[in-house]
Amino acid sequence: MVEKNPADMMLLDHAAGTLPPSLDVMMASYVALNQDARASVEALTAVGGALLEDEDATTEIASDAFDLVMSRINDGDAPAETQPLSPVDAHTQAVVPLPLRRLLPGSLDSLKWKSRGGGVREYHLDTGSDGLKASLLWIAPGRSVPQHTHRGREYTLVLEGAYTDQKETVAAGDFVVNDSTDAHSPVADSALGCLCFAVTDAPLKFHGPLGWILNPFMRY
Amino acid sequence: MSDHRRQNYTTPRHRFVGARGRDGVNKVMLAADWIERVAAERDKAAFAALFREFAPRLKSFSMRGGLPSEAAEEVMQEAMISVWRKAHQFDRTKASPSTWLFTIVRNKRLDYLRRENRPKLQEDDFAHVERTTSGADQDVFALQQNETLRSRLKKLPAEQLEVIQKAFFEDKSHTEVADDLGVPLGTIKSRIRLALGRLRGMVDPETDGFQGM
Repeated sequence: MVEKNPADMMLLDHAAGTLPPSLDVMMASYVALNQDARASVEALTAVGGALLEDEDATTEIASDAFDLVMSRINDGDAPAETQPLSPVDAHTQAVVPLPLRRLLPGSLDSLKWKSRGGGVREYHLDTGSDGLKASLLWIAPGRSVPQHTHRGREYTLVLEGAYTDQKETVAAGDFVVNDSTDAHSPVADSALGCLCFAVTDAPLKFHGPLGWILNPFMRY
Repeated sequence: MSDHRRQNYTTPRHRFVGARGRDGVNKVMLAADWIERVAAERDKAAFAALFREFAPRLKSFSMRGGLPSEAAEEVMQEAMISVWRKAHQFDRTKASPSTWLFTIVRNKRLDYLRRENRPKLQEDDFAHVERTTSGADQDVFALQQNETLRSRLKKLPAEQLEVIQKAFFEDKSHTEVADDLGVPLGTIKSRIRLALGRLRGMVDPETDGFQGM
């Protein structure tokens, strides 16, 4: 089934900093696109701040901690700074939120997309070994992803265009979670197609006539 | 920052810890002043004051998350280095000092835990988001909200405070909190929703009934 309001608990985990990398990037992207989500995360982060104020102010720290910090500052000791963003074209800039862009080597058009057949293309995103599979999915206008269920969950953030699934339309900026009981077959908007950021916690399992061909390709 | 605000709220010799009410507002203004002085003047004395107040709390935060003392010390030191470097990004109309510090230590803890395989996310990722309102009224409003939030936090029922604290401090997702407490996931979600509702002033503390949510 499709979960109602899947985002609220995940936004809490995002604010608290407890999500695995793939989903953390997804929530950060969602927050960048959605004003309500941003307001929630700001409120939740303020709760974190209030809790921090109530932390134990007598916790023992190294007696030379301040001097160490000052000398590390003066030495220019920089713990793991982010790499600069790759330059991208205007379209990529418009549809890919900043947290997700950090995972792209270049513009959308320049990525090494893999054809999944039937007008569907996939680009695998490297989010490290967190046990989840993160990718960009492009469904051409009017085409569909073959009907499939999930052994685990599928998290989807629509970046551009829209898709219709079981009569419900999911549009750019929407965030949806499908679970293992949900056999679905999203059809992309007939004019715009659909670009999604998708995270799965188990390989998709395809049904229908082409399922047996597609299944081996969806392993990771 | 405009001068009139600083004159209104700064009390240089004010005691920081344990202050409440009007004093609580002063206290928060003081910490905000320290951060702004670090940003504007690279003021080492202001940084030292900030360090005295917050370094132990930052370390305590990471230790609660299960980090051993040395690791928590490292996370705290990296967080304080970030405070120095990113002080110019602090905006008192946007977040209270403790909220800003929370985001820094939270991210440093994440970096520490996932140094090998986590793609780097920075607070800057949200910097492109424009704020629509600001100014002196907003400023006071944000601080009152901070105080209101703290007083509501103190009034939470024990089992609601417990799930909120676990969610924020123990590096556990809400699913793991449920496992940890041996309570059904649905109950945990309800407690979290109730707690967050109360903290936002949307739940009647007498009845736990939602008001307009």
